[in-house]
Amino acid sequence: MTGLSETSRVGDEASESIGSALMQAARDHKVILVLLVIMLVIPAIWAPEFFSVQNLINVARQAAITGVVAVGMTFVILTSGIDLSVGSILALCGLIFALLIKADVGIPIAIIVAMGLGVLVGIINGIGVTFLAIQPFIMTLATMAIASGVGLLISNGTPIAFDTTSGIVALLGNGNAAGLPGPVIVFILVALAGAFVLRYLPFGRFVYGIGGGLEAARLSGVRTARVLIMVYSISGLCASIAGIITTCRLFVGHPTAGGFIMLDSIAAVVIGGTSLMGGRGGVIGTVAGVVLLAMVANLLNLLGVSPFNQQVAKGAIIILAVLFTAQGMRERLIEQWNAL
Amino acid sequence: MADDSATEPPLLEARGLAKTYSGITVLKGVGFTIQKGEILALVGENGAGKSTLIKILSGAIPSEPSGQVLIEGRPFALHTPEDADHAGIVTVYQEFNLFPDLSITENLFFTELRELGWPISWGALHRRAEQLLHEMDVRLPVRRRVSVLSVADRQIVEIAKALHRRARIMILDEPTAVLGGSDVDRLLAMVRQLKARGVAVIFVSHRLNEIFGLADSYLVLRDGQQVATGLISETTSDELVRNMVGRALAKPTDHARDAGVSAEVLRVEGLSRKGVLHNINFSLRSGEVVGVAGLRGAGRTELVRAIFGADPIDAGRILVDGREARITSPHKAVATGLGLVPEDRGTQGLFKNLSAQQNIFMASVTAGLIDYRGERRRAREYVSALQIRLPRLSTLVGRLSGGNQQKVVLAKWLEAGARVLLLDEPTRGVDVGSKAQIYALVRGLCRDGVGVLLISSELPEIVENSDRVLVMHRGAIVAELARGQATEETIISYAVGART
Repeated sequence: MTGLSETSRVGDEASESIGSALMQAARDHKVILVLLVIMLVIPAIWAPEFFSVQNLINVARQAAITGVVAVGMTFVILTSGIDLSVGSILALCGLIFALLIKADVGIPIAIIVAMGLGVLVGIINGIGVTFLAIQPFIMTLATMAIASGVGLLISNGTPIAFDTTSGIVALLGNGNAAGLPGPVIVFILVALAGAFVLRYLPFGRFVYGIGGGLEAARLSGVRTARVLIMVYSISGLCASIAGIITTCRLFVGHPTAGGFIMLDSIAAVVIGGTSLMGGRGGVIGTVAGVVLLAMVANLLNLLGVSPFNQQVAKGAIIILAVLFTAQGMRERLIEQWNAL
Repeated sequence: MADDSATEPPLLEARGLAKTYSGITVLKGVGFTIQKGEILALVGENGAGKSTLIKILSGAIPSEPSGQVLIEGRPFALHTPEDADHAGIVTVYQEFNLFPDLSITENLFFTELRELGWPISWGALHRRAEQLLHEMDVRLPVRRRVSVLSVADRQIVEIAKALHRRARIMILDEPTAVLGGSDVDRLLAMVRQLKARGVAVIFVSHRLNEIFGLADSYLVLRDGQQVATGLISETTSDELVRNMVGRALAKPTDHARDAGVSAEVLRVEGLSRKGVLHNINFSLRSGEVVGVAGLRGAGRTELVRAIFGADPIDAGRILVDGREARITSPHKAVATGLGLVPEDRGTQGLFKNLSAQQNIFMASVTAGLIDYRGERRRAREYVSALQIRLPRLSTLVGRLSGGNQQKVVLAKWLEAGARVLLLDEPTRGVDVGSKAQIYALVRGLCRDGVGVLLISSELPEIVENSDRVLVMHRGAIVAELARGQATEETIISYAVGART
């Protein structure tokens, strides 16, 4: 190495301590922090019941399923991709899980098979966007339709109910452990794992690298096809976990359980500051985005706003969050006005 | 625009055009005149300031206040591309400004499409396009998409478009560089048409025979300064070359090395890629810089990409450290100890929206957990050793200057511990100061035993920094020149195929 012993001087970084790392995290997520604070002020004035323990746990419970899916979605969006198939994977895996419990194969096997199925769909998505060079939007749109169709075929379009006394199912659905609902515990574990992988594993760095430039990553020796297939697998895995939780909550596998989960998870990731262009963002922001969306929904419920208006509010929040996160907004407004 | 006065002022006159980037003068005191129907050849080596001059004339960048542009004798404020448009100055760059998926007709009339009335009468419009091209003695399928046309045809469409927009002064930036024989003739015929119509043409070319057959006058730039100007009929090609290269011919720097005895780090045998590379053989020793020269399209970039596993090969083998390395992907290349600094830094070498630190470690993380503290420390060491100027390690590298960006790319390969570096135009878009630093770094790496394959279109850089020079022509290596033999003249004569 040439002359690396010279004393170094770079502008910033006192940032070795945990405190300054937190400061950095706060700077990176200032928009969503502000929004979260607003979401704490409004209920303090108009809906103090928001702060009851029972209600906060409700918020967390609502956030958990979307949150698990959104963590996987974060990986995909960081590579500048998108996964539209998560809702269908959630429904399909939830159905398979219900069928397997009904067939009495044992809870662990049911869980493993359901998760494996989610990974399988993810691998198919990954192969589509790499080997077949299909746009992520199109590829996952196709698997969304296919997975959804397969679910309807298997179930004949009707919910599959089952009965079990399993403690695991109860915990994953409506039970509590250590004072927290089971789904919330799963969400926390998934989010921690996701954040850890993105930050501390080389794989996580490659995810950012692919988002920063696919060809540059390939020419840096990153096995881009492998990384992308794994990324879509992770998204599929997260969706399948969410599917298992959904089924455990209802004691029913429902072929249309996916609902708005795909839109909600993408919204949470984007609100959390992860760029759809890839390369910037992360799980911390996504968690904040999920919590914010759940808080808004809960608060609007408490204030007696109709579910229809809630959809409108959600859309407005997405636009606001992205607007404030965008840099150079003033210049862009002028530029676009002149180009009108 | 007819002017009846006896002493008609020149169509365009430039006085004292200059440009300084952060203290470094890249253009200084350039002045010339051009009349209607005159063809001015703008010549100079790469980095002489031609592109800067073109950018100033096309309004892309402003001249220093000392400079002045007069159109028909009247001072003209040329600050923006719109100003240039008003003055009737149109630049045809090497990269095209056409819409590839629109038809020739749509491209020709794009700016006036909305004034054509509704509905658009396409039949009439196509006929107008044919008419327009016919006036210039060209015949092209006007209904077809531009993307299916050859490069020459696309340039012709672009020139026709400019003419239709009443261009009075047309700047052609190396239009013939990527063309073959008959296409060149068609393009030159087009330029003569322009001349006949009274358009003033500023024509950039490296090919002297073209210039002598075409131009009326010439302007030679060297190191950002105007060194000669006059009528083509009063000069010779020898004189032009002398003016371009100058007295200070680049000569090898004398860094003592005994590459002759050091071990071979890279050996390429019979490397072929159909239609691109033909039976390439060469070797690279530890501590050696081997330059690869050649014209655009000679296969230099394709060669390093093939070695690096970025493109598949049809035949041949690659040995690293004497052992056959089956490099089928860039990943294998990196694992074998190769590093590539690609030609297109923006999309292939750099992760523009990632931080400098993320960039530096992208090629080296392989196993285990990332140690951020250690990485920060090492990143800071690279920043100071390579004199990378950046506000903080978390700065997105897209915001850095070209030179600093390239140093970040180099740091990535230093960190990866590459033993063979393939540098493809490492100094393109890099300021003069950083250039020197990059080459100093390369020499330092060689002292540490790294072997370097250096591609550059700037011959002085090749001559100055290489221990040996390989010259490529049409996908094959046509000459291997030792240090003493590798002069700019020899290299050029092999590169253009004049000598074999």
